[in-house]
Amino acid sequence: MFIEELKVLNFRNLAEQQISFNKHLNIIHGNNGQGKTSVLEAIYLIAITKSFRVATDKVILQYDREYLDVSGRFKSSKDTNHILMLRLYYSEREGKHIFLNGNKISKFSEIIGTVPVILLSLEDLDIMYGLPGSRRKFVDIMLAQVNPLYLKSLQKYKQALAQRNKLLSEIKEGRSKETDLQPWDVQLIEHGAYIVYHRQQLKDFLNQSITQFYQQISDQQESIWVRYQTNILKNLGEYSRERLEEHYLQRLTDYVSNDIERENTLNGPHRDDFIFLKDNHPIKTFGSQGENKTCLIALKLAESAFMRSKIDEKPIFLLDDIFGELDEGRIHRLLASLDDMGQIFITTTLSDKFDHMNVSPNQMYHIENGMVWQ
Amino acid sequence: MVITGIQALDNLINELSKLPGIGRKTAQRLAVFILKSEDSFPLHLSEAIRRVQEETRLCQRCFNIAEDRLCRICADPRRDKHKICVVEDIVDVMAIEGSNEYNGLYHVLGGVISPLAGVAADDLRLKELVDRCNTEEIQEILLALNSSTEGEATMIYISKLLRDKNIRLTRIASGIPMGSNLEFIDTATIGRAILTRQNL
Ligand SMILES: Nc1ncnc2c1ncn2[C@@H]1O[C@H](COP(=O)(O)OP(=O)(O)OP(=O)(O)O)[C@@H](O)[C@H]1O
Ligand SMILES: [Mg+2]
Ligand SMILES: [Zn+2]
Repeated sequence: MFIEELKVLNFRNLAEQQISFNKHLNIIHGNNGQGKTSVLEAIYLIAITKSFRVATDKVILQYDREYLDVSGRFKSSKDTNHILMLRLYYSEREGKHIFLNGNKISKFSEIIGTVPVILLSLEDLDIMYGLPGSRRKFVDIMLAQVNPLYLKSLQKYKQALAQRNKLLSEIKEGRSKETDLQPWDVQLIEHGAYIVYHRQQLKDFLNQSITQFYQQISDQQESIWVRYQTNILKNLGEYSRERLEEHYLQRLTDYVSNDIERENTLNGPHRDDFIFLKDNHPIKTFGSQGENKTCLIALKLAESAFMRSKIDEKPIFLLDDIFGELDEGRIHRLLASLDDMGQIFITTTLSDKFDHMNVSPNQMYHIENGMVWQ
Repeated sequence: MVITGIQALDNLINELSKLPGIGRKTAQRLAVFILKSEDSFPLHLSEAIRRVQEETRLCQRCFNIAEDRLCRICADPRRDKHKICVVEDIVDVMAIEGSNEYNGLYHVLGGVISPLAGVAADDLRLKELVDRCNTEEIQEILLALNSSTEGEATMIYISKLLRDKNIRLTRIASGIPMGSNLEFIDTATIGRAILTRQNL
């Protein structure tokens, strides 16, 4: 998919305008605070129905405005006759409304995955440096975009987990019996095993290409490996969902008194983590900043490959301000490896970084005070 | 809460907005409608509201809404007395009846298990269900609860409870979207779901 035209009204600091984009490369440069990230945020917003920066919609509404209206015209990268109009309207009073080709969408999850988007911003460094929750979230968004059932399982799992944890407290205080756990355990196991199964498959997929992407950018012979860690299985490499269910049941049974004591479910995919290794050392603790960033980019490129393998549509790549700490050689090679990706947006304060690169003037956009110029 | 400053009107708006699905704006519209309507309407409305409470009670057997000791379904000799359809609430009985695909009896649980909402298995009419299985000639129990995590947990609980009774346990299978409320689904979907029910 690629976005051909974006229309914004009362979104962040952006002026009311209509911007046409290139099918492949779009570089948006401008000083701090001019609205570069906001342009990417607007594109992400209509594709994913949520902002990547904030959880509350109110924040994206321009100061002192009643409503915002953002819409985009998208085309399929396979068949440019296939046009898709997405529009998002929000006001404090009426809430958020989303329209696909003019029709109001009742469930936002219906359009997730229609326009695949990959975002890479400085906040994503949390994937490298942050707590396990940041990595689970990254993986979950990736899987949910290509598989609505995964999202369903995730939601069901979370609900069952919350109910079970509450019940654990009740049991500890003697108001419920241990056998009351069973209906929740059944669901935790069913959805938990589904989640672990898909996370494991994703890990395998990432490992097929991440090293190659990393080397393309670093130009060095280093290998990257993603290790998946889940407490319901000690040795990974067991694949069937039935086996995973058996293991999970065993864990829950073994830990039931611990769980009651702590009033908390100690085992399950809500405790999973992913470790990135460069030549067998965790890159988080051993790698340099540039290496961590390179690993993150390689991971996002692998994500793009994953989406393409599942949706058969090239995702839109949003790269927000990621060139600090990268030497010119790495930037150059990154642009080269982006060449056969779909549509790409790059924001930067440093337009001269692109002087020696193969960028044509109509791929450069300048932004000042919320207004985009070509 | 003061809305218009006119006490009688505010009072009505406040009462109306306690109804499910009625926000303050709708409540205001309804209140003004009642206010402006012809003389007999408010009287009929309040009379109807009073009667619905006074002249109905819960069926002693299935806890559906009834005018007598038994509801019309339980009292109807043409209904298949070997089947019980277990539902969460009275509105689910109405929804399934609307589909015209089901000819057995019902059992209204009065909720689903949810520790977070403070609802335990003991708070539901499960003991009564087991009693019915022991005293009536039940051959099949059809579980028609919402497929929410809580509905799911309740169905799992019931199937464990009735496992060693010699009764066929089935559940509404396909056609009902996940996480949906029964009462909002059109009756054709429910009819299809009942026809394709699966053994548990
Ligand atoms: N709801 C809003 N209404 C109006 N302006 C806003 C709103 N939210 C943020 N802004 C302002 O919009 C401006 C643009 O922010 P944005 O993050 O897009 O800038 P940027 O070009 O990406 O800057 P940087 O290079 O520092 O990342 C900022 O000055 C910010 O304070
Ligand atoms: Mg920015
Ligand atoms: Zn009855």
